[in-house]
Amino acid sequence: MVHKKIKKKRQNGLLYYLVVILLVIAVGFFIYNIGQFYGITGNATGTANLTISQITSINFTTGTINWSTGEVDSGQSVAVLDTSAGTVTDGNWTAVSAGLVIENIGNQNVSLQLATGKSAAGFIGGSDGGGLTDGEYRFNVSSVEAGSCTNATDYTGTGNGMTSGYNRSLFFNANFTSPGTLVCDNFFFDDAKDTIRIDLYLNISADSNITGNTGDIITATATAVS
Amino acid sequence: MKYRNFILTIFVFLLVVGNAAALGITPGRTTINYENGLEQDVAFSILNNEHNNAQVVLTLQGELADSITLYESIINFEPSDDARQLKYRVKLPNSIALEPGLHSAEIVAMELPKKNADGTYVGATIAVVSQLHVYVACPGKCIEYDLSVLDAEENGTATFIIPVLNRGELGIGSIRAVIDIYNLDYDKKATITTDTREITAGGRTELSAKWDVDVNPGNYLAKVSIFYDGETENFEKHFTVGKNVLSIESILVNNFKLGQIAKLQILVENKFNQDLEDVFANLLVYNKNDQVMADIRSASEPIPSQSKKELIAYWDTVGVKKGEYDGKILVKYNGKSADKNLLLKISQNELAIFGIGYAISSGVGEGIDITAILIALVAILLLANISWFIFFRKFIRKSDKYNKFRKDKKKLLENIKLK
Repeated sequence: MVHKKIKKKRQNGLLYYLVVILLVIAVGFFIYNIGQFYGITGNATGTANLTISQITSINFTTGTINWSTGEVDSGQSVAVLDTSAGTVTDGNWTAVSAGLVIENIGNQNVSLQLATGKSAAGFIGGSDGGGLTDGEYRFNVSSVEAGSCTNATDYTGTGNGMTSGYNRSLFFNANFTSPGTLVCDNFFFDDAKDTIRIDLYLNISADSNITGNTGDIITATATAVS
Repeated sequence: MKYRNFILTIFVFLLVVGNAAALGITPGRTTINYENGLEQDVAFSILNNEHNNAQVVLTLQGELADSITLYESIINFEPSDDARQLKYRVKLPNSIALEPGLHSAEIVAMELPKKNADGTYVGATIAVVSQLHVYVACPGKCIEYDLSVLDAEENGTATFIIPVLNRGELGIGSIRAVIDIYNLDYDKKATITTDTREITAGGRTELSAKWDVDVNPGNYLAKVSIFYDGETENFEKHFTVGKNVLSIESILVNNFKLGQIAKLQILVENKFNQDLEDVFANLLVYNKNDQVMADIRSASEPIPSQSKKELIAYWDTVGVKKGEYDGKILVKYNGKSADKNLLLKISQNELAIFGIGYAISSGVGEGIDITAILIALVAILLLANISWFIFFRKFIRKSDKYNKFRKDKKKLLENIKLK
């Protein structure tokens, strides 16, 4: 009876030690695995090199404005096509209220220059029937998403410039000299503020070049800024 | 007539949205340090982001344009093409060795415009630029630097990082910076010092320092002095503490009646440390098709620093139907804006706006105020509970008394029986 008790005690003791050993091994494996998973084993050192490709990329989500064909109303000397107002005045072209829309789809801020393909004289021509002093082919830049574009230069021209606040009623004269007019020092890539709009203002006199199919191409050039 | 209008709308839409263009280039800039007689290939890629059929022409411009040779100058993209790996050969002229500093060239990739639609049109095309920057080291030690301020939030800890490039021919043994922080009245708010580091010739390092932000949100000026091997460079840069400069506190609409002009009182707080000029509110209300059905704007007002102001906007609700509408309130100032999404519940006599803190609900006399209903409900429930509690206690007492009476009666009967 006593022997049996002693034997049982020994067996229990062995079982106890076995369980403790198994527990220690299990805990060891657990720590090792956690270490492998999170890289916290304490004896691993290294250098992580992170390279992010800098991409300069922009996208014209609206790339054409087309007023269809038209002419200056009879009895009028000049017609005005204005996308910012969405109007055609004294002409029978189709009014367009959408501007050209550019989005910065890269991963870095860029500067943006706009160059027209033709001058006002080359595109529209004719006499200056509107009584304007700065030509008849103009464009304007405004932010579709607030703060998309900043410009260190404060353009304060009278009807020919652009305020730093991007007033949609103020227009630039077309500039066909490469690389064009710097419209954004910083055109941001942040998704919440990466879209701007270009509106156009054409002042077409009755004796202009605009007959049938006449068009121009604006080139937007994006360059990375540091 | 309906069909004619529909077809005309589709036609105009197609005229407007057609011919979208997209182009990318990577890297946007390649920087190399000048070495005498250096000649190497530089890799770059042109990205056909929108998978267009496109023809791209490559041109060179800038001071070092003559030192670059393109292997290809016209690239044709198919819609299945993601990108095209390209390279150019650069052979640096020895003539620039005597002019320390930056010399550059630009590789311009321009998408050739396609034939446009008939009529009077203005189309658009894209040009993207990959820059080549070549630095000629200055004799001795000279540095380029900048300042970035991260996590500058009220009661937080901001990190100031000054990346420094050694553009000199000699290494720098010890470099550190001291940053003085001023408000816009030039009152000094704090002085912090960065760690000390060394930079090899042509190498780069980052000096950093922490600042416990104990100032109000607003614009501040960091005046930085960089000390390196007995020499000093000074520069300054503005930075902003806090992101939420303007806070939209509430919108009140009193005496609302559908079909009339509603007066919206939008309470805005300027948390900034400077006055803001020309602040205005812009409420956009969307219809079921997510189109803007109302675009309401308040007059522009100045808001002094650290103060609240009510911006007033008027909404002509003629033609607006009862129901729920999504909306957005924007408060704009100096080209920036704060905004919040809203839900507008419109009934005949009430405009309830949900989505801004404790705002906002208001109607006229005969309209039912939801807050009043809730208060009444709470009061009724409270009364019901109290009544029930009193009744229940009385009932238990009565029940106890009855039980006691029954026990006493039983005992009495038993005693009588025994007797």
